[in-house]
Amino acid sequence: MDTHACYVYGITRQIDGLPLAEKGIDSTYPVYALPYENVQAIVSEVSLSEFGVEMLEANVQDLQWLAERVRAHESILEAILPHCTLIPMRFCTIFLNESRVCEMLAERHDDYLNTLTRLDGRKEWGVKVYVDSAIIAQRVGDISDKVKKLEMEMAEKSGGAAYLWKKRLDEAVAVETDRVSIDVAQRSHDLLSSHAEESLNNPLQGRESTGRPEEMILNGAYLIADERLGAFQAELAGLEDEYVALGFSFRVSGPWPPYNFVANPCKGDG
Amino acid sequence: MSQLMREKQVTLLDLLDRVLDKGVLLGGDITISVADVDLIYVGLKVLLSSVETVERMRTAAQTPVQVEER
Repeated sequence: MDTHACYVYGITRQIDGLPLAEKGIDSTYPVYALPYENVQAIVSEVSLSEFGVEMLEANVQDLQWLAERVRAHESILEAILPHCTLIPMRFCTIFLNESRVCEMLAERHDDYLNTLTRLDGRKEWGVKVYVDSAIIAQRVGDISDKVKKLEMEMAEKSGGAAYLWKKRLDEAVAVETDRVSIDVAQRSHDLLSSHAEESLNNPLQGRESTGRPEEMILNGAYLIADERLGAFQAELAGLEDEYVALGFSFRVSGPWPPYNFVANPCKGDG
Repeated sequence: MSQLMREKQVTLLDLLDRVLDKGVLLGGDITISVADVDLIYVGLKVLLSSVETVERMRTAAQTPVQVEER
């Protein structure tokens, strides 16, 4: 009876001497490389008492469990990332045993080599852009004629007229801040993409409904060639300088394993 | 919420967004047999529910989620 299975973290070329963690995602077992011709899978044994599908369905609902395991998955890949090109698997890519993994490698061997070649010398970077609603509401008059005009007119009004103008002003501020935010997001993505081999404009992440001042307006992923990283970071710094006064902030993360740039076009999975 | 805690949460969501939703997705025809129970490869469907859980926890509670660093 099989009580264990084979967890796959990612695929690299068949290279010896990579720094592989002594403790895998199931900390009882070490990470090792399972080669097949010119590629290898980075794997570790996992106990089905934790990673079998029923337990997994329960465990992934436990944020503590999930957070620890995804961090383990990521740290194993990040140890390898500086040393070679790497295709990251999705969390919990689990096979029955080593021979099943090798079957998968055999089937996809050439695809993986092609993907590795496409990714050589490149790393993923993430840029998220936020706007502080309070700040931009105050400052949008500096760049919007429509708002500026209403502000000036309102200053001369009193009583009921002032109340009406305030409503118009509030509406104009809302419309103009949206317009400016969309423009900044688009321009930022276009400029950052110009330094990238590939880029993605990802769905914005969960809106905070609580009155947190920051709203995400761009969730970008960029595949940057190592030799172009300086230009990419300079572009980012330039964008920050340009837009910080209006309440925009830029948060960069990376280098990441290229999660966003390894989709399987032939499988049709989203 | 302290700045540090917020950054940790932001990082965790960033990480979950990648490892749960991106990376190579292998098709769902791999089965693991344990005794007489057929276990199916765990795909996106199961894991998406965990992302929703995280979002629910974040927006509902607005209290820091305690996450131990590995």
